Amino acid sequence: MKSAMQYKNDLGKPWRYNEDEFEVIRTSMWSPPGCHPVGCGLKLYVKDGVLDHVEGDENHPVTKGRLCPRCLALKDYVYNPSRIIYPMQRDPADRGKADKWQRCSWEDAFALIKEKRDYLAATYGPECMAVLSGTGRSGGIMVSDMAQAVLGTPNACYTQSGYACYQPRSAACSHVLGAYYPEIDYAGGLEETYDNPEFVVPEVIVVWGKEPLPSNGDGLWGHAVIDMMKRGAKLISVDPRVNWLSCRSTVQCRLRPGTDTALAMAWLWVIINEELYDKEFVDKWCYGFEEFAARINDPEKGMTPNKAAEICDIPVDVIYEAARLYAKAKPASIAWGLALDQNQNGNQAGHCLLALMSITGNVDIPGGQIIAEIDPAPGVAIDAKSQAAALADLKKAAFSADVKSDNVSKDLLDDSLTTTRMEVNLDKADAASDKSTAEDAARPTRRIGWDALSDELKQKTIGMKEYPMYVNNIRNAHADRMFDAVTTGDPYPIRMAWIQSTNLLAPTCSAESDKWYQGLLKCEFNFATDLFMTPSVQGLCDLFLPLSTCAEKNDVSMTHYFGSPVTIGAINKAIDVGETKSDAQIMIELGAYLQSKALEGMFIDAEDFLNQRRANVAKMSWAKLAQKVNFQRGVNYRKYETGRLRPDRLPGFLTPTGRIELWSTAFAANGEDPLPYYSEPAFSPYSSPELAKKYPFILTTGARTYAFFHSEHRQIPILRELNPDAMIEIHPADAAELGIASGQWVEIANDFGKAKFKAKLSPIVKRGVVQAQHGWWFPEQDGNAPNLYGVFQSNCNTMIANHYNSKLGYGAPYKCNICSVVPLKESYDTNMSVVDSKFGKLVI
Amino acid sequence: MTNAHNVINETTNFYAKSTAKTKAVTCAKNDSETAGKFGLLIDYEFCTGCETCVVACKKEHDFPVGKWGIRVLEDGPWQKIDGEEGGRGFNWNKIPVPTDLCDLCGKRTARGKIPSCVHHCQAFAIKYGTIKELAKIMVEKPKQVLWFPRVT
Repeated sequence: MKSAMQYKNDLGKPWRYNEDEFEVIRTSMWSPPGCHPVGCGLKLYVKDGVLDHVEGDENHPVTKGRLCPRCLALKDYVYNPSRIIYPMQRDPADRGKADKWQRCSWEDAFALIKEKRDYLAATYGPECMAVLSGTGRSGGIMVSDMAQAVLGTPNACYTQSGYACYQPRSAACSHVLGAYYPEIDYAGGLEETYDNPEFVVPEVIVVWGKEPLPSNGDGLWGHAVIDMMKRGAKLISVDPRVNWLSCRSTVQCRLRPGTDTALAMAWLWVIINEELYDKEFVDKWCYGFEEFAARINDPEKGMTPNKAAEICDIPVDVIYEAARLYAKAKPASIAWGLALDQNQNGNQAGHCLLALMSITGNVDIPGGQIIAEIDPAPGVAIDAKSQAAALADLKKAAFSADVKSDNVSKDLLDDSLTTTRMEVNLDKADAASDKSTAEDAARPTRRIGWDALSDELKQKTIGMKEYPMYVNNIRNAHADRMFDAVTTGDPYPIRMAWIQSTNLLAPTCSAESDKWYQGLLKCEFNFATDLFMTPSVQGLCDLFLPLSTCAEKNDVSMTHYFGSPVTIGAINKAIDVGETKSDAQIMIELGAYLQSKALEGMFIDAEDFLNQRRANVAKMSWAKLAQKVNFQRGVNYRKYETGRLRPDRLPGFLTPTGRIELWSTAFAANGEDPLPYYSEPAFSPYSSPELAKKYPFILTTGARTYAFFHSEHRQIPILRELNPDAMIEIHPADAAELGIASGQWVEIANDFGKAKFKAKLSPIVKRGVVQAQHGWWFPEQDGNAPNLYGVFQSNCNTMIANHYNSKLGYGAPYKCNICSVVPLKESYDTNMSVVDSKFGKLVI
Repeated sequence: MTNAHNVINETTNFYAKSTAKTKAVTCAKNDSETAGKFGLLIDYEFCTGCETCVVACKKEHDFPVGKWGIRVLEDGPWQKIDGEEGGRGFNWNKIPVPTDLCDLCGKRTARGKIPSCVHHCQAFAIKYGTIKELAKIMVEKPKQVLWFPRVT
């Protein structure tokens, strides 16, 4: 018999300790395997250099020992028999032939890259090379470094059409809010978290177009929502689809997919016209409120609740109820998700949600939306006198008619920027003092190579001409224009691609993935950095460079890529596997091998990189962070009052007017409407009624599962058995009309492509809407082309067309498309015993 | 204030205390009535169906594909009628059920550790203790289920 006192926990244990026959290494996990940078606490139990098992670390301030299935299965990923742990090479003539790979050395691999890169750069110019990347891996956020610093090409590219993940929202944050992504406050950055006296439990959390429980988006620990529900928070759900949280919400808005902007404008209509907004905050800190209110009330471009009810296909009462509940709750927060990005109206949806957070006074307050503090510029300190003067200026500037004139104001913006901009040498100085945008200031890890590029090369970035805001803000080539370059040679052909941390042929990221495949086949040389032989690597690459998992490298996990004041965690190396390297190691070593001018003398080694570009944000060395394992950043609230949102330490936000720009000077300067407006999805029963007769269902994609991160984890049997088949959800009444039985396979199709899924009959989707799982490929199938592990069997992204973006180049209809649904006679059910026999026996 | 409100407030406080330190409940020492009678108390108001218990159990026991020590079963989803008793929206509950293979992590508890499903549950929705003690906690709030898989 044991009493509770005898049950032990490991609270207070150091970063490394011994327990029985094991050495235990405490770590803060993030990628690979891909995930969001929550930095969940893990204890890695190692015996004789081998990972024996993992356990959740109770010491982590947020996760407190809790883990999701994917980290629990980490050992099955690390020692998976299909994992590639040595460099491999294959003749370009043998692309798609699975048995033609030959093991090679890193030296051979680097020599081959150098030969191809030097020849292609000299012959066609360095811009003929591209680095293509994905999401959720530590390499993803280094794509610009890989392209611009290592290879010397401006063309870094996240290949998702319209960068329809995070960027439509974060562009709105940079330009409207003048701060980085405002996350819901879940006390993660505060000591004792929810029990910290500074924290206030939100009365209401709005979960809008997001499934935080399985996704943990961008580092928000999803189950923090549960922790706060237990402490009294009510929920409002905005999602077409019923999910676990929506079942427990006080109000649910089950809107038609892609109509988020209309709904948000209607909430704003209620809050503005019923005077439920925070007048003092609006008067002091918001710019252009009257114009904004006029737009919301505009008979043509505005949005009444009645009009929105019709567009969104929800009862009008629900709109009033939700808006009032949100506006009257003090504090209230909005967890806003990917769905807002995945339509062409995404910038406007983001703009509206920022307006909701702002006019209700919930920005940067306890239990509201938290934003990251940024460092002061070198030599700048808070000074009461200049702050007072700046406050007076702020007022003046805010009411200047010049700023609001239609032909804004290029001069005024430039003037305004030069007052705060300082030239800094990014190689040497603290990069945080660079402040061309709020995002840069909050995320001082970026642009290692951009400034080393000549102006001529910068101008050649694909998409710079059409979408300068997109390209300059994230120093990425525009995805849809890159698609043109790869498939048609416009504006110029791509001759070499580095496919890193993305499986872009699988339906995860790129749109019209089948055409990307054909286009990239034309390249003279392609290579990949990855862990598994994905269909993308098998089909396209000539060289495979193996990456370390997070158990095999030192690295740093940071919530919101440093853009949110929650945690910074040390990923502590515990084991070695094969001849793998981390992304940072590859960047530094390959950069040195290629004699990169941009990287010359910058980093001695990977630890030096972690010191200069990662641990530095926690104001400590890597070695110290490693021992702390988790660092809570602390939260200063209402930083707009204290200057901590600007490098010049003047009060206000980091926008040209110093206020939250409800009337956006940046949108105006880039030819976009400075105020939000609703636009109907490009493919819908209303915008394309003729097509909709042929394709009567609305198609949404991308809902998360607990078993997988996007296209990863299909080869982990104990995860795969949680979700063996590619599923599509269809309403039982729709299925009955079409004669589709539960579990029957169907084919969905539209003008661009088709894909097969197994039908799950469920009332959680609205009638007339189907929800198809993304990310599918079948590692147990034949890897040879054209099958490529069945990557085009259930590939919903072949049905998403490129070039349906916003005026500024953002957003794409991944969650608001149309399709037909036809029952199939054949079954494509996964045989789990095949999966298990191929991947179940670990190689240790 | 009505009784119903008191219950909600109490349960709110009850939840607020659920941290890593309180997942194994205090249980009486040397009580012959409770000897060997341990169980799992599962709060299915907050079980999110994340499958953590399923995989944690599987890794702990090295169960092969197709066999489990605990599984998450579903009640729902189906539409309730707005305005009627039971609330609006959907009924959709996730209920973890130990299988015949659940041994309440005998090897772990022998080493002083709580069962793996309890340790890792993302919603802090599983508690481990003696049936007697768990039954006392059970009456503090509704939507809980007490499992007694075997005499340990």
